Amino acid sequence: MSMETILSVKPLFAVLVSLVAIPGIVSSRSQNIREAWTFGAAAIKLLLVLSMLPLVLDGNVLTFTLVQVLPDIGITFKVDAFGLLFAIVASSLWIVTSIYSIGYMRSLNEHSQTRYFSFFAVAISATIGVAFSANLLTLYLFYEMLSLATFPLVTHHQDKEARSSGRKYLFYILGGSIGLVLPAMMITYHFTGTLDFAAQGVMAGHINSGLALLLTVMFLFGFAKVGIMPMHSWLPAAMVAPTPVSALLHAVAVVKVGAFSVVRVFTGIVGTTLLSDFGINGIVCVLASITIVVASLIALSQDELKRRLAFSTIGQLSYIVLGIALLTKSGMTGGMLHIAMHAFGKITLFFCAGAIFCATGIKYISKMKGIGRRMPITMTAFLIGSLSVVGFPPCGGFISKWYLVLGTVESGNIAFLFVLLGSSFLNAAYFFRFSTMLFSAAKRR
Amino acid sequence: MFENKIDEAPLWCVVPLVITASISVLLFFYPQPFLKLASLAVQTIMGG
Repeated sequence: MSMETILSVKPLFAVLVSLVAIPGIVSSRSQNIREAWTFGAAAIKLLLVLSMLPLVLDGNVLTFTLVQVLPDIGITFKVDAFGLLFAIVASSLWIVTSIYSIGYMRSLNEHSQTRYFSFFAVAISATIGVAFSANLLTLYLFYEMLSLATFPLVTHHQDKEARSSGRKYLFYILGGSIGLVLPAMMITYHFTGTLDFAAQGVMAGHINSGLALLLTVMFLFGFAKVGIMPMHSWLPAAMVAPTPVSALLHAVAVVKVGAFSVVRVFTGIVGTTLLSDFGINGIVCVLASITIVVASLIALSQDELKRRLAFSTIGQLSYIVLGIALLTKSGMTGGMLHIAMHAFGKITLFFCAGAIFCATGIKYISKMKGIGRRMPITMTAFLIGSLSVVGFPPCGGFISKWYLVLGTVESGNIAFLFVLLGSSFLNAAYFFRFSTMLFSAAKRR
Repeated sequence: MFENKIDEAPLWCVVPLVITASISVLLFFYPQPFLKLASLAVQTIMGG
């Protein structure tokens, strides 16, 4: 397979298409036209992203430089296999979330729908921008753009709880990126002279072990969207947002941008050789394992459905980090696949939580007994989403967990195998006990 | 608590969750597009 770098404007168009739709969304006089703009932009974005698939599968890389900021750093896009995988997930789920948003926002007669759909469009542009970033500076700019665009979505209800959650959200997300990622990026540039993502990283030969460990930890905690403990508590707080926001942004776009950024920096900046030689990957594996187990245990005790899903997400994101940090082929494949497989399963669960709220106004699990009899389609979908997130066949989650488990075996560290298996049992406990309850009859007095 | 009467959320809410649940199952039987992309990415990073 010959690898070629192809100059193409498609990555730029894929990023811009949802931004171009915003004037249409804002100026629309009717709900139908506004939603048509949203849906149209989502469809064009997906088609643009999919049109790059054959070239990338042939081993090619598409690039485009928008502007040269410094002599050797530009706002540059690069579409490779990993970036395209993430872009396909985000853009395909934007379409279904757009449809869901229409139903949810209309049925609850939510206020400020134009603002909602506009910032949604900015958020998805930023997500694709992160996916197609060719260097750390471009990734950082789109990462921050996503943080700012999602703040009005998190605080959509504009009440005291929403404002408080919004402040927490910004504190963790912007605090992490400005306080940790930005200085780590500058130090990296100072020592290596580049911020471009390279196949084997750029730090090797330029940075000693202590500094490499420090920078890795700064990136890991700084990209707080990935929710490694103790940088996780913004995520349950952000569940105050309308459910479509929780669904796309907190099952797909925001949290997966965190995971994606960590993977990009670990592989493209730090480099797998350096991670392995200095034993940094072992520390990352331990941090990810702690997050997986603790988040799964906390999820067990949550009565509010969206908060249970939020803690589940925190644990599942660390599966991705663990898979990459194992530094085995299967582990890395599993980690990357989990971005896609978890997204489809978890968004289904969020959609179901929102559908239950739309139909009944109920948010708490303890009040949902027997709801499966009233909402059989929704609750069957919930069961399928649960199966996928837990990693049971016949669902996509099984495939990614299969590779993750193989990765732990290949790494020779059986402790991480037990972390994966043990947390899967916990996942099963907090989803299946709940699923059974939903279909059981309520006790008669 | 709930009567046996079927009363789902609006269709605009139900259709997307049916689609994503179906894709979750489909990805078990046909994971190839994502699997190929992930394998390509890993091959680039790890070499070989």
